[in-house]
Amino acid sequence: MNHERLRALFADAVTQDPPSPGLPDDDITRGRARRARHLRRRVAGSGAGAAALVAAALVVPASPLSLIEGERDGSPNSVQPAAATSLDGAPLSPEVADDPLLLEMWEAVSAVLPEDVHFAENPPVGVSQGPYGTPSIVLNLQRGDNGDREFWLNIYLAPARPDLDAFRPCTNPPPTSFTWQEPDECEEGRTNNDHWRIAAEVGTTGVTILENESASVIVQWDVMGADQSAYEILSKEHADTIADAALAVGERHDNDDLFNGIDLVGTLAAWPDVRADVEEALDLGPLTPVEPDDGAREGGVFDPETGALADIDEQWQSGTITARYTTEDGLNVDVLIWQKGRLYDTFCHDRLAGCAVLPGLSEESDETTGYHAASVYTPITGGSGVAVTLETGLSDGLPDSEESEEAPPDTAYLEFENKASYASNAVTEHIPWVGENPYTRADDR
Amino acid sequence: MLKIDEGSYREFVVARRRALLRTAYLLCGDWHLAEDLVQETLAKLYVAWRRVRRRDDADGYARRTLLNVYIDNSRRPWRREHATDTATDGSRQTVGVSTGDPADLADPGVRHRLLSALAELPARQRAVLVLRFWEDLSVEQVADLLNCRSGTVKSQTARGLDRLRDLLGTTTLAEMKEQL
Repeated sequence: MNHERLRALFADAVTQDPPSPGLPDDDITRGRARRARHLRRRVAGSGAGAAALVAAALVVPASPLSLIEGERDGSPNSVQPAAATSLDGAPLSPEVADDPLLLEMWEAVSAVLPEDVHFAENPPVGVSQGPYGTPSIVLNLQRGDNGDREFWLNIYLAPARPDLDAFRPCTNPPPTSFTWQEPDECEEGRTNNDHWRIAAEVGTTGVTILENESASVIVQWDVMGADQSAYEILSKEHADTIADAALAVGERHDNDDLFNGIDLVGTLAAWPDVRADVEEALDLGPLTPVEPDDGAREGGVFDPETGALADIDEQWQSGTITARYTTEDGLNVDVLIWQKGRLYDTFCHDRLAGCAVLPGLSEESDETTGYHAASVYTPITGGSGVAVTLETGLSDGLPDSEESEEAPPDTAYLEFENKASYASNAVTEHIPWVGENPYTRADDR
Repeated sequence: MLKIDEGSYREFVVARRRALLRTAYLLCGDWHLAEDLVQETLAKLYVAWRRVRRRDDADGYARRTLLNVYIDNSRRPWRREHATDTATDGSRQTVGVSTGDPADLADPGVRHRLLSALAELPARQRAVLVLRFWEDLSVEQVADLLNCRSGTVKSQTARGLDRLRDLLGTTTLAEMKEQL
C-alpha cells in the first residue's frame, strides 16, 4: 500500500454521502444567527422587561440569579419604576426627570431629532446603563409614516481623555475584537471643529463617537428587526447632529459630573476583603492564591499574599485587578474586576470569554468555554464589570450552539454557577467606588 | 454582512460543502456528527467571511476551523467516540471479518474496519492522517494547521500509521512510513 492506496481507502469510506446534505440557505441562516448572537445588544431601557434583556447581554452564561429582577437594590439588572413624567409630550422615567444633567441631555437631543421621528409610548425615556456610571439616556423611537420602523437610541456622556486620537478602530481595529474588524462602514478623523470623530455601521448597529478636550459622547442606535441597516433608519449626519448636541451638554460639566465608577485603587487596597467575600460566597473552603502563568501576568503586578494581580492607571481609575485561587478540592476560581479608560474602548481579557466592545455591546469568544466553567459576568457601568469564574470541568449542556440538543445542564454545574453568582454579587456590593457604591445594600451601609 | 458578501459566501458553500463534509466524516466517522461539524464550521466562516475574503483564504480558514471544531468536539465527554469492535477479553484484535489487504475496496468490511481503526486514534493523530493522505497536504501545511512543528507531524503520522497497521491487521501500511 502506498499514499494513493490509502487515499483510495479514504475515498471508498466517503462514498456513502449522507442522504440529505445541508443547504447553503440553511448555512446562511445559521451564520446570521451566530453573528447576531456574537453581537449581543443590550437593548436597555428603564421600562419593565428591559432588565432581563440587559442580563441576557452578558458575555458569558449568566447565573439565573442575576436574572431575578429587583434582587439587589439599585442593581443595573433591577427593574426601575416606570412612573413617567411628561415633557413636551414625551414620557420620561423618574431617573431622567429628576436628574438635571440627564434632563439637559434629553432636552438637547430631543431638539435635534429628525422631524419624522416619534417616541414610542413605552418604555419612557430612561437611562441606558442603569442609574450609575456615566450619564446616559435611551430613547425608544419610531420612524416612518406608520411608525413601523423602530429603533433604540442610546447617548452616553463621559470624561474626555487627553490622547483623543489614540482610538482608531477603522484603521487600527482592536485585534481581539471582530466588531471593528469588519464594519459595513467606518470613518475616523478630525471634524472641522477639531473634534475627534468615529462613525461606523455594523449591521443593524450604528455608532458615532465624538470627543474633544472637555467631554466624550457615544451615540449608538440599534434597529429592531433585521431588514434594515443602521444608516437606513438614522443617517450618520443625523447621528453627528445628535452627538454635537450631547457634547455641548458635556462641555458644561466637569469630570466629577461625568464619571462615577469603581475606585480601582481602593479596591486593590481592600483586596483581602474582596477575597474574603468571594470565599464566603462560594463556601468551598479557603482559597489559596495561584501565581499567574498565563497572559494575564503581562503588565501586571502580582501580590502573592493576596493573590491580586493589578494593572491600574491610577489617574484614570482604569485597568484590571484579577486573581486566581484554588479551592481545597482543586477547583480554580478567577476573580476579575475591570474598568475601561474610555467608555468606547474594547476590553478583552485572557480570563474573560469574550470582549466588552461598547456599552451594551459585547462579543462572545469564538472558543467554546461554557462546558468547563461556571462564570458570571456582571456589568457594573457602561465601562466596567466584575467576573467570577469557577473552572469546574462540568458541562453546562449548552456548548456553543443555539440549536443544541445536547445533554441537559448538569445540576452540579448549576450549583457552581449559583456560587459564582453569589460571589459576583458580593464583590459588586462591597468594592469601593468613586463616591458611594450604589450597589451596597442599605443594611450594609 | 452585505448581500453581495452573502453571494460569494453562498458560492463558496456550494462549491466546498461536500468536500468539507467528507473530511469531517473521515475525522469523526459519523455522518450526522460530520454534518454538525460542518454546520458549525460554516457558521463561523460566515461571521468571519469579510475578513477571510480579504485574505483570499477561505479554504484555509474553513479547514482550520473544521479542525478546531472537531478537536474541540472530541473533548466533549457526551460526544466522545467509542470503538465498538474490540475483543471481549479486552485485548485489541483485528476489526471486521476480512483478513485481506485493507486496500481491497471491494470488501464491504474494509470501510468499517478503516473507520473503526481511525476511531481508535487520538483526535490530533487522526487529523494528521486525514490531512496528509486525504487532503494531500504537506507536512509543513499540516504543521501550520495544527499549530505544531513539522517533526511532530512526522512522528504523529508514523505513530498513526503504526496504529492503523496494528488495528487493520496488515503490514502493508508499513510501506507508507518510508514515504514520509
